[in-house]
Amino acid sequence: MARLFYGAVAFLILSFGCVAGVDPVRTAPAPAPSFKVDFTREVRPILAGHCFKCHGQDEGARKAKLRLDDRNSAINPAKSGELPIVPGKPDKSELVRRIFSTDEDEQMPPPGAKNPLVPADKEILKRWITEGAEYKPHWAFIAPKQAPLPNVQDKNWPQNAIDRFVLARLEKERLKPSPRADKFSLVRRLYLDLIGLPPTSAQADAFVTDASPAAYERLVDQLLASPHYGERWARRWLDLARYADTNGYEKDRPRSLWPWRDWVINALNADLPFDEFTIEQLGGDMLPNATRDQIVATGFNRNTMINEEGGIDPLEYRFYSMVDRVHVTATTWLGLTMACSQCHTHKYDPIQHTEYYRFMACLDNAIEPTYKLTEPDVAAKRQKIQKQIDALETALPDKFPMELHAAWQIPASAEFSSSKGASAEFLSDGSFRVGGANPDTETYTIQFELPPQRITHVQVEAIPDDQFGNGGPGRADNGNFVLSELEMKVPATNSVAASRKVKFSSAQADFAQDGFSEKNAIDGKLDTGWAIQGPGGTAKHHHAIFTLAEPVELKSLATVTMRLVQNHGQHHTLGHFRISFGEESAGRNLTEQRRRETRDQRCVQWLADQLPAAASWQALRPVSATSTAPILTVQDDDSVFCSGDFTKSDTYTVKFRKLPAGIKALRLEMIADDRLPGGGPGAIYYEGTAGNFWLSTLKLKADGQPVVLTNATESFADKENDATKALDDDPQTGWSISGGVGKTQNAVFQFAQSVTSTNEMQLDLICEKYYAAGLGRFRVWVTTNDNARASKLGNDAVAVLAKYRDKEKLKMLFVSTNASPDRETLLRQFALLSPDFAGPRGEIEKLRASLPKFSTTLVMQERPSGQERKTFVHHRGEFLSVEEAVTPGVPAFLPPLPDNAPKNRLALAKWLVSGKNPLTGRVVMNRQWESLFGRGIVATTGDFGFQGELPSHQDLLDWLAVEFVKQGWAQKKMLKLIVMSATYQQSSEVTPELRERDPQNIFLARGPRFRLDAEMVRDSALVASGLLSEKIGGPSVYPPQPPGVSSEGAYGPLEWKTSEGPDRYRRGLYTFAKRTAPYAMTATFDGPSGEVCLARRDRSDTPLQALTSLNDEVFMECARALGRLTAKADGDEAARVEMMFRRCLTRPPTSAERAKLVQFYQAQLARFASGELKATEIMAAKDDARLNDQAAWTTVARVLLNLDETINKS
Amino acid sequence: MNPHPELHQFLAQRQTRRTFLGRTAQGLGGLALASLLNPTLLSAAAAVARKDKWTGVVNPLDYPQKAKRVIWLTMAGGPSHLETFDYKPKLAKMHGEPMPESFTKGKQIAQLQGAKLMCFGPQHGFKKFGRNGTEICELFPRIGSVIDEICLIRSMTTDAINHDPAHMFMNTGSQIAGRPSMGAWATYGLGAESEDLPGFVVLTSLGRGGQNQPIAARQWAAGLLPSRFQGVQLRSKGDPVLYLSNPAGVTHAQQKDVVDTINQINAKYDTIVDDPEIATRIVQYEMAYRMQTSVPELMDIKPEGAKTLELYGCQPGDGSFASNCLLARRLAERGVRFIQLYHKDWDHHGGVKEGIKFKAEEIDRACMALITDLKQRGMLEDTLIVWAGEFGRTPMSQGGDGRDHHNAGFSIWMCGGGIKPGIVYGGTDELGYSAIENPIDVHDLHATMLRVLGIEHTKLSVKFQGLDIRLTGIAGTTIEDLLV
Repeated sequence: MARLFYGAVAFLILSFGCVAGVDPVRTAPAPAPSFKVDFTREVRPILAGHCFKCHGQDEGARKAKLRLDDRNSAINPAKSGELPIVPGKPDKSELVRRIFSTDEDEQMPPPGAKNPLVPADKEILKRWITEGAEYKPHWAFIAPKQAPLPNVQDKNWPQNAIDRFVLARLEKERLKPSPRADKFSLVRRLYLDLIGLPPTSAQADAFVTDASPAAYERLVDQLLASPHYGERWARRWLDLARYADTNGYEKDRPRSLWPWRDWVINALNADLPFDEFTIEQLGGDMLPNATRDQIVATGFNRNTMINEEGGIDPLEYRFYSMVDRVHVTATTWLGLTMACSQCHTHKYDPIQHTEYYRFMACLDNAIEPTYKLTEPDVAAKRQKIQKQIDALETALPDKFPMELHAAWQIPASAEFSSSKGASAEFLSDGSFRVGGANPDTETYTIQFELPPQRITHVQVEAIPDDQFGNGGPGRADNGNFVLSELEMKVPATNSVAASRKVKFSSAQADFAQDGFSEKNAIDGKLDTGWAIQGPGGTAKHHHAIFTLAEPVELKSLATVTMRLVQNHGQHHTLGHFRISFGEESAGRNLTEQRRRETRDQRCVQWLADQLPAAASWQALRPVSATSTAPILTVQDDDSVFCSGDFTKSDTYTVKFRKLPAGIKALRLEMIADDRLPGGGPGAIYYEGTAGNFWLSTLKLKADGQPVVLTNATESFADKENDATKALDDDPQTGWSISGGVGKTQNAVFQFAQSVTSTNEMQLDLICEKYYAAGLGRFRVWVTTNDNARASKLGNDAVAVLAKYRDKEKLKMLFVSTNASPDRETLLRQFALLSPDFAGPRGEIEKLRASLPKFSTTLVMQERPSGQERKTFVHHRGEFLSVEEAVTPGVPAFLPPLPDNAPKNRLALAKWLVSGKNPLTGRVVMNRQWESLFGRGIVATTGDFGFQGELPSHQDLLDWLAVEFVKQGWAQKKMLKLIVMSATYQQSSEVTPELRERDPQNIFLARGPRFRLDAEMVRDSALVASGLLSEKIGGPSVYPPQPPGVSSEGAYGPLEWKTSEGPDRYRRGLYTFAKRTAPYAMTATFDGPSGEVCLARRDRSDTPLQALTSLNDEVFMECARALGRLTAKADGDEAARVEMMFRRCLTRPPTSAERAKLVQFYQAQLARFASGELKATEIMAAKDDARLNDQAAWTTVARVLLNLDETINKS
Repeated sequence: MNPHPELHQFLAQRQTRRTFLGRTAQGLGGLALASLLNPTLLSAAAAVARKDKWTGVVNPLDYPQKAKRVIWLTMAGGPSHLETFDYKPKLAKMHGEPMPESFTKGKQIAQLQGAKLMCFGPQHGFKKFGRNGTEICELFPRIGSVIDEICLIRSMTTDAINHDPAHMFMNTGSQIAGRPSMGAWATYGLGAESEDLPGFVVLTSLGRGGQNQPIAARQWAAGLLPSRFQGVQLRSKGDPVLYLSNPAGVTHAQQKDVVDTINQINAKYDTIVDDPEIATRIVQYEMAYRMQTSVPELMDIKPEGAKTLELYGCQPGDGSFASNCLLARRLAERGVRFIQLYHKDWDHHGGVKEGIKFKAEEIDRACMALITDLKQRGMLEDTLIVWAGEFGRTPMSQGGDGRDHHNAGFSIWMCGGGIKPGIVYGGTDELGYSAIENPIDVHDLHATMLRVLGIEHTKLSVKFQGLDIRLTGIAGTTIEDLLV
């Protein structure tokens, strides 16, 4: 069974698939007697498969003190005294006697073993002992060497070293290489292999028609330099790294790790040497003066899943993440299956249980922060907006809003005219109801005859009316209008002109639609305006008041002209409205003075209310800060920053000395910090609101005696979770601030009695919840003042306020005419916090909300020294069964970590690519080979251990591995070497004889042929239809998929907001990857879910795939685009078929194929023409003379996009 | 190296095809239009390929097969055993008193951090049903009416205490995603019987008054097995199978044209490149086209008639659990190997009393109907029905009217194929906290289920990352007492 998997599965998918599972390497006929039995190829697999479980390196499982993996043990007496193996003497060897024994008590392996020895295996063991029972170390664990290139008979065929190895083997097998593939196949193969996209016809022709012998190499160089190269090869790496855009597990919420994905693309495009590529991803943060890119690179091991379900133990899932990191690192770089050793010493490979945890220890000593990218363009935009905010905040105290006291006059008569034919009725209430023509845009001109008066304001009222759409005041379908510009003319004061235009200085409406502020109506721009579509529709009375820059004095009866320009279009014109003229009760100067006075009065009152907060606080610098799990660091400003691990119950203990005498209260300041989730001040990162915390209990001791706390106040609390809840005895209640995250908050705890003569004070803060709800950053202050209370005031304002202590002093401060920084500070605080300023603050809040956010990504950061994490052995791999602590290290059968550097993550990374490691080069080269040929030289891409398949061409793999290091780990160079080989360039066509002989193409007597990866299937269709967006990088996108895939059954269902524009047609690698609900098309075509490291993808062939490429919206859009292109193209039907065919398959069609498709096109066209089928539906378009033709071609395109050859590389 | 029988099966098929196509292709030579359009060639290739039906790797079976198929009724969210199948009068007596520490000390808790643990008595009465007077909650009288068919297990335990890992564990034997789920294992081991439907089908239904816990597609993933063994979800909204409907404007006739043309061109191409994968693709396109008819036909329960709809208590298209039970029977009839129904909203952290009423209304009649219907059709004897949540709920209250997640003891039931009817197996302590009499864990359940399917659980494995991966991990004991 076990043996069946790798081969048989692949083959069952292939359905007819050949004798996979029966590896010809191993089942080759028994060697002729002149050859000795090969230990590695023949003996070791038998011993490993049948004997090592009880007679291997695992001391715990070892029976009879016998090791058969070690010659020394095997040839010396066992526990029984018998000699298991006597080299050269099978008759004297107990092993031989036992395996041939028919006595059930003696038989080995014991009867009932699930995997008995077959007679052929027994014979091999016997012959091996006869021949001297030689042991050889496992091939993959010895450093590779470049063997001399083998001699071959055919001197013409080989193009480079690779071909010498391949041909030597072929000649040995009496096989001949296939001829070079035709140029169409070659160009298609190269494009798909090197950049993951098929060539366009023009690109293909450029190569096909280039007769130069250098054409092929030129194309290779050109493709390796393409920016799409990085995208193609990044996908391969993303499979290993288990990349996804969500956290996985139950909640599976989105996260941002795409900057790491882009780092991979860029690194590959730049051909960052594989050693640096490795070091930066595993330990980039630990490099001296690590750059932003090097830190971003450490996202590799942050691709682990994060369980955000409420009741989980976060440290248990951190352990699972570590287990995952060990497996991924071992599979990706070492091709080792370390998973076994999590629970016990590896049964087959020489990895001890302890060594597994030593390997883990290398990776274990990190914290896992979110890293802000601070992109310069975003920073510049933020700075610009921040400047505006600062200016507005400085000016804010002068904007104290005053109610308008005005007498309004509604004119009794008016004359209405319009620019495009609307008419209006003047109603008895002084309003206008517009009727008649309803053009898209309009300008109303209204003339009023007004008696002498003073005008300071004009009011426009929009009056809801059932006559108009939705009962709104406007004539648009939804009852809305847009007043683009309001203009006013009054008689000129001098006699030269008849009238003059009046300027407006400000506008204020009771409501304005987002983006349609009333200010737009006086900004002089015709493409902006005031509109009133709101959450409840349009059917509400609204008004806007426009303030004149200078009051107008009408000395006698005068004509005042109002123009209402309404330029928005689609009938967004006023239907029912009224205009009135107002006079503010007092003069302008008086108003400003009154505004200041009123403001100052309010401010003093407001500050008086804050006086209890006006204690003199002194910040305390902790002498120690420790906790049960998180790492606490005392910052320069005396605050404590918390990082590292958080659990469901953590206690933070902070100690202080040298305290002032007579302390009456303690203030706990929770400080917002960009480094924290949600900007802090708490550390909640899952289940609850990011940045919140849950302070269940606060305890204070002075000189060892508990301090009684009587009362608590706070700047903010959500609902009933106020600060007093940290003082009650109930651990289920606590102080929490979910509506106030991202801002600094504080709570003040009063003492029952003042504390005097204190040498040491200890504060214990306990955060206990069913999820980790710890603190992020906090600072402790104390005061000797009585009755101190918490407030929202900033620390500077509190300090100033503390100077003034009572209301009278504050009054004096505001009466004084001298400039006073204290007054400025307090006024500013008043403007920022008081509800009086809610209106004027709106603009600032809008600006703040518009601040563009920096991209973030997940990274690794080594824990500070002195805070190293201990790693323990876990009995049977269980989280809770902790055994002895271990130090970082690597399995002893591999070269050791260097002695001259600390043994940590960086050391491990460097060790992997030191060039001394026997595995890394082989594993990477094997994967490259597998990507191109569909099968690795070692078929088990992820297992180079004893249980893995043996290499089909070890000498070739070793040569490549050594060459890779020689070439400075340059992946592009190695890829070029492979694709330049004659081996790679062979035709993939196969003779029945060859298929019979080598169904899996192990000997490489032909080129590869296999189905494209999921992303390439879709990308190819996008290229063929001309829809592909070539944009590289950026946040993931949402191409169409059936409704419900990402939301049905998902916890926080992800609304799949299908991308519009070019983002709809990006390469598959940019499709948003939700772990619990992968993009449907990708999943159907064997794409990964991103939950585990994938060394190799399956290639299945299912009816669901057929349904997808036949019916999926994406493929339909491609078919339509291709159909339209073809309908527009020049040439006769045959020429157009050829054009389409080549867009999909690269090569030109055969005459039979062409004829078949022309005939198919004609048949479909006839069906559309006859009305049997509706072109409008298929094309999702309005009727058009050419639509039938487009629909017929679209149907042809559906056929072409579904052809086997279209989704294959050959 | 012991080549398995199925390898020979494939080799034999290949031989046949090789002889056939090999000669034909050579005989035809170039690219004559005649052969391109030769329907005989095409259908012959397809006919050979259709024998590609997966027959399973367990061949011959390890044990006599008692159940040919499984219908697994997954009650997602964690049903309270204390308001369904496990009556605890002592708990009722101690309602409102502190939970004795002797029960809870050192045990895992999910959400009751720091809470005072208080006993919370059963919220509904229990009644005796059947020959043996089995006590179950009075809200489930119809299940009670068929209790003599049912094997009730009151001593189930699981390792996981949170939804996602617990579902994963129940489905795959591992708490961490990535292993094959049981439906995939069963199909891999036993093969498929249906020509037009996948071997492993999943249906989900939404309940009322609960937390609507998520059920993600990877609960029925094939994990390490090839994706052809993954569960295919039949959706109640939109296309029952993704992409099943033709694109707008495409008629059935035109779709046939398209598929035929694709297959004809592919068939011709196959004679050149001789890649067996092409013949498979041809077959899969045919199967896809057939599914476009067979699946909607399957999903249409109207023809079942009023009497059957009444029995189950469902209406066509209502997407209810009852509808899904009826669909499960139809899938079973059509040879689907493993049918898994997820019914959600059992997560009663609060309001367990009212919540259970909703659940009872949704499932009581439907469960009875499924058992009755299968029995009257003679299918109950070779169909295994399993009713189980991912865990149970605490005997302690949460928030005064709910119960937290609980893994130390809860109830499930099995019925049909090879399982002893009318028995109660195992039991919890007097407060319903821990399974103390004959406790069984998830691996045991899996081992026992595989056993009635004819498979020895220790022998069904695949290799991954150097490990022999089994559904039962390194554990699992077949519970012989449950077998007929």
